[in-house]
Amino acid sequence: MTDIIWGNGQSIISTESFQLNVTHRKDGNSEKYPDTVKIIISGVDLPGLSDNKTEWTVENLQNLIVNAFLKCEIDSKTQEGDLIAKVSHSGAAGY
Amino acid sequence: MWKSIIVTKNQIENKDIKKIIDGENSSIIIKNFLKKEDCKKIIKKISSMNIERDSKKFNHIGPFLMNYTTKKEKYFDNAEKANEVFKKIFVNVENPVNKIKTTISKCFPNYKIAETKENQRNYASCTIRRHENGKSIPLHKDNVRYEGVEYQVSKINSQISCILHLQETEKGGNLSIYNKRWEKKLEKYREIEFGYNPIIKENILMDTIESKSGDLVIINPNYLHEVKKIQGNSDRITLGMFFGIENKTKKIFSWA
Repeated sequence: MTDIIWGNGQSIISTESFQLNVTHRKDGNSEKYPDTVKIIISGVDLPGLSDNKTEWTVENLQNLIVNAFLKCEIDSKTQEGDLIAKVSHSGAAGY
Repeated sequence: MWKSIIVTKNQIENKDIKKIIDGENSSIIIKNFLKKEDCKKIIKKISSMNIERDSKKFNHIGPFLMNYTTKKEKYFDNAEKANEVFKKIFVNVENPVNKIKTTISKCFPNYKIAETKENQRNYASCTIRRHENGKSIPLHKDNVRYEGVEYQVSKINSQISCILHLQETEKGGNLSIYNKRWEKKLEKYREIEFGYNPIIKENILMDTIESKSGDLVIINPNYLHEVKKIQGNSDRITLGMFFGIENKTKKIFSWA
C-alpha cells in the first residue's frame, strides 16, 4: 500500500520540488513523516498544471502549490530523505 | 445579526444580489418559487425513471464540476448525458432551470445570460442532489475561481449559488452559512476528504436557512456553509446551479 501524507505547500524549491507542511498522515503508513518535508514531484493531478513537466515554471508552481492543500502519494525516498511523490489537489470535490 | 433577504420572485433586485455578494446579508430566499405540486411531480418523475447516478458515492443526478477539476472531457461527456435526462425530468412542469435563469437575468438588466459552452460543449444545467437520513454536508465553500481554473467559467468576477428545495426534510438538513469569506490562508484548516475543520467557524456570525420545498435559496458560496444532519424519513432533495458574473463583458454564465 502506498504511503500518503497531506498538507499545505509552503515554498517552491525548483520547477519540480517544493516544501510541504504536513498536516495529515494516512493511518497505516509504513513510515513516520516529519512535519516538514521536501517533495520531488513524480506526477500531478492539479487543476491548472499540465502533465508535461517541461512546461512547469517556478511561478506557476508558486500560484498552484503555495498554501494549497495537497495530497502526496509517496513513490519512494531519496538518500537525502526527500520524498518522490504524486501530487494532487485534495478534498475539492462536491458532496 | 446576519440575516436573509426574503422576497418574491418579482421583487428580487440587483441590489439584493449585490448584498449577498458583498456579505451584507447571508442569503436571499424566494419563498414558494416553484409550486409544491411541481416539486412533487419532479420527484415522482425521478423515482419513475431509471437514472444513472453521477457517482457511486453520492445519489446525485448530473455531474458537479468540482468533482471533475482535472477531468474536463469526462465532465462534458457526463453533462451532455445529464442535460438530456433533465429535459425528461422537467417535461411536465415549468422548467425550474429556465425559471431560475429568468429570475437572475431580471436582476442584471444590462447583462446578457450567455449560453455556457466550452469548445462547443455545454456545461451541466444543474445538479439534483438527494441526501438521506443521517447525512450532512461538512463546512465548505464553493469557489470556481480557485478550484475550477481549467474551465472558462472560472474567469468570472463573482459567483452565486442557487438551491431550489424540491423536498424538505422532516427534521434537520438546515443550511448554516457563516459570515466568513473563504481566503487561501484557510487552506491550512482543510480536512482530508472534504471541507474545513469546524474550528474556523467558532465565534462567527451565522444564519440558518430551513429546507422548505419550493423555496429558492441564493447565497454567495464563497462564504463558509454546511448542511446539518438530516433526520427522519424524508430525504433532502435539492436542485442546484451556479451563476458567474463577468463584469468586463457584462455576461452571466450558469453551470453546475
